[in-house]
Amino acid sequence: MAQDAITVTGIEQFQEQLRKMQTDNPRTKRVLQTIIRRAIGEARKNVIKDAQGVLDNDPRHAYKAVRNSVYKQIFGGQINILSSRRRGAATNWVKPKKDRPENARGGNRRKRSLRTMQLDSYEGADRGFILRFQNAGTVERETRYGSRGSLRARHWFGTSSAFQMDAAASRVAEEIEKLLQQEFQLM
Amino acid sequence: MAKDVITRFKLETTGFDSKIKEAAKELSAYSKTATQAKEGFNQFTKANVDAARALGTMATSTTNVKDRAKELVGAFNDAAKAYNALSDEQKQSDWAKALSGSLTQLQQRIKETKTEMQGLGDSMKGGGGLFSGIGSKMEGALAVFGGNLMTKAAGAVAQLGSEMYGMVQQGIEMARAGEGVRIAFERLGRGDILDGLRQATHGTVTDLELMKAAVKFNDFKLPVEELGTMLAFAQQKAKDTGQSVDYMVDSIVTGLGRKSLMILDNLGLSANEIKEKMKQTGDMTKAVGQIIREQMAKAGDYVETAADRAAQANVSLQNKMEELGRKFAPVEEASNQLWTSMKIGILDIIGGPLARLLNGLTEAGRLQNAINNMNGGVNGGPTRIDRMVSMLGDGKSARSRNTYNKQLGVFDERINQQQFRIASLSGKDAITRGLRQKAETELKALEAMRAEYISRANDVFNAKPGTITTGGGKDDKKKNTKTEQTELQKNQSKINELTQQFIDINAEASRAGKPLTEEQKKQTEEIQKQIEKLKERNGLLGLFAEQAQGRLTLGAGDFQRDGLSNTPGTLLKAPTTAVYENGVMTEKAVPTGGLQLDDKAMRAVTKDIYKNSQKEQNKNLSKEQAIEGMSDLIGGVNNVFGGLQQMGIEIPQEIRSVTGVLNGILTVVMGIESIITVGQFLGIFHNGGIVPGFANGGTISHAANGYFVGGTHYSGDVTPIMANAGELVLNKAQQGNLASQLQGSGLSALNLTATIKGEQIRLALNNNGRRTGRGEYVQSRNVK
Repeated sequence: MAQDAITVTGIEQFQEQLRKMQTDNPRTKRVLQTIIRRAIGEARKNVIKDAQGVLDNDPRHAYKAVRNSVYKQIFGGQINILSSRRRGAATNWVKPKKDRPENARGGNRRKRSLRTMQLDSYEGADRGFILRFQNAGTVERETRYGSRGSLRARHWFGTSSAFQMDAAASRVAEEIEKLLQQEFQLM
Repeated sequence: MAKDVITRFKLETTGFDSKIKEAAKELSAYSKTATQAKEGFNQFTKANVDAARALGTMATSTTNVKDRAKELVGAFNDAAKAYNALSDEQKQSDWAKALSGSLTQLQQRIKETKTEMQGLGDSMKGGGGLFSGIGSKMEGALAVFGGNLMTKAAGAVAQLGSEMYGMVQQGIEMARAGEGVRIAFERLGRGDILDGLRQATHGTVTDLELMKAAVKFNDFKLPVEELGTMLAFAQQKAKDTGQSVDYMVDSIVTGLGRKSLMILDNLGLSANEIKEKMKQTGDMTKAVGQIIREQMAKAGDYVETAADRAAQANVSLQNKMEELGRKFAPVEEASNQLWTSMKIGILDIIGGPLARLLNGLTEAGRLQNAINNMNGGVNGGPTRIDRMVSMLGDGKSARSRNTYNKQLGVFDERINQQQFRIASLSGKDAITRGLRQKAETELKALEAMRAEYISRANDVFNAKPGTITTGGGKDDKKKNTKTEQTELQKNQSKINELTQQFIDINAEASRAGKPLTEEQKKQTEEIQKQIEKLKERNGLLGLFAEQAQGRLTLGAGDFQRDGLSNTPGTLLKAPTTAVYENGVMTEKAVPTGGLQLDDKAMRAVTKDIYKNSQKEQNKNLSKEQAIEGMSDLIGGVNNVFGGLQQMGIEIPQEIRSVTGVLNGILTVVMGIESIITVGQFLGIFHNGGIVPGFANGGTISHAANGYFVGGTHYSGDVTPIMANAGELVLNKAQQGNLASQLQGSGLSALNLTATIKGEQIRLALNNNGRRTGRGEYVQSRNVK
């Protein structure tokens, strides 16, 4: 009985726990990536809100072009307004209906409305260029029809994303703290 | 470009993994050490456990039987209290019954012991033989108490475990304390003498004490071989005199080492005898050794007493504990190191490399980052605060103080701005929350910088000798208070002296029955000036004294109110108010509970007062204008009357009375409170309106039966009228309003009714038809 008073138990379990907590352990890796994914998702959501604030009029939902990703090999992630890859079959384009029967000669004679044209053009997620224009500004473009004007650089993305990434990093740190406390029950 | 459109973050895990691996490695080392130490632990046999349990805490330190008896009584009382505190159900348990039985037996033994002790009287103080009987009774009592309690009581095992743990801890402490002694003893290279010393002291002195004595003996250049004899004598003397063995051992070693007869006197050695022996032997140690041997030969063989037995048991236990402690000290040390390093390691993981890599994520890190950002100071260069403090110079000039106050003002302004900014960020979305958190961190950083600036600036100011400064440390305040009080006292005595001079001069003149000479007048004036100056200075010092006592403090952002300083931490002058008493205006402190407003409240109240005063001023202005206009009017009328009389024109009495009327109106105007009413009067009697009308030969009309103002002058108010109270005069616009109200477009209270009947319509139709030649209305007839 007296021996029990100072016998140290649980060393093996503790060591096992330490082994599990190393980042080369698939479980730990998965947990950490989940934490990062959640944090970056939250950051993207907030950057989108900022984008909506910058775009006064956004009928084509260009804010959807804010994208994010979590790295596979290393622990981290990114958030960007680069152009996404072509969406292929996911386009909204619908072949215009014809007034004439199939076997009749002649093209489509029905006039397409402006709204239809708009709807059938780029979708929001493909409109990263608009966000980039607002971010970096454009030069004044002269055409034969006259000046097309220019956009003032707002530089919103750098400010917003850096701030949100800071917040995301904070969230990751907090989550890792919680994880460590939970695993080692130090607190 | 790419930088503007993509933002990344990466988690460096190298530090994370390495810390975890380090922790695992240290854990393995600890496990190995603990396994090795387990063998040593097992040597602590059950016999040791029983001995320790029986003696317990009752016989650990004292060897005096009398003290043990007291402890026993105390233990009995404690146990009896514990038993009495049990509930009836608990008293029925086996454990409680066993306790009760033990208590009864113990009580009986104590009674017997007391009887014997009383019977022995004074002889109890000496005589080792008597202690034997008492000691055996005590041991018996302990055994009964311990045996019954510890073997039958529920929970005894747990208690034993706890005791064991405590003893192991004590042993570890003893081992740590004695580690140096043991090393010093081993350095002597006389490990063989320890057994001899134990035998000489009959096991009543712990190994640690013996080693200490040996080391000390050696340090005094005394022969270690003689130590055994000396210690045996010390132990015998301790037994004889009731002193502790350790004390006697210490006395003999120190006494011989210092060659002090006074210390050796503690052992009952006669100074004369030692001196005589020294003449024979030439050495004090030899002389004392010879005396000791003679005395011990006279005393005869060693007789073991109960006190010796108790001491032996205690010493045996302590030796065992120390031995155990030596085995477990490295284990505990390794354990402590391991847990400490593991905790540090984990905390390092949490707060160290990870936090650094994640760009200062903890609250403290964020705050530090904010401070660093604001404070500047790249690569160890001067920070902003360094520069601000350097601008204060040596703190001796008024300019330094002004610079300091200005800088604090800048800080306060920035803090206020930051607070407003935080208040404006009230949204709950993530961005706003983030901004608010950042702003709050910046606010804290600002406050921290401000505090640092104040502290460092005060250091600069306090460096000036003899200066009264505020906002310094506690010691500075004390010092300043003292300086100020000294100056106060000096000033007061000077004032008294000057006052006496003043009185003397006046008294001298009074005795002589002459007025003061020019010279005396100058003197008295000079004295008065000096007194005033000193009083003023004392008033200021009194204020400082109040400040130093911490009665009033100036908070951050408060306004300067006392004319002294707006430094935060500075103490405010007590609020005062002017009181007019006995023809003298004096300043008195506002009584306790008086309203004190902070700067915000002050601004708000001032604003309200200002608004109200503006309104009041407007009212008064209108009223004054009305009165002024009326006065002008009356003056104008009087002038006209005067002019007419000079022209020889006689003015009728009715017209003369107009002045009286106007005076009456003026009185009314002065009495009225409502400006609107004044306006109404003015609407009727516009300034000077009567003069042209009268001058043009018009008359003032009476309107008792209603009155219509004719003519075409629709503006200028040139026609005067006379009216009584209650009469109504409406201008054209007002008439229009009344008319529209009567027509139902404005006055809802006006209730108009009309009765229209069918035959009236028919009649009208009939008339119309006939008049226009379109026939007439033919009333239908009923067909039967």
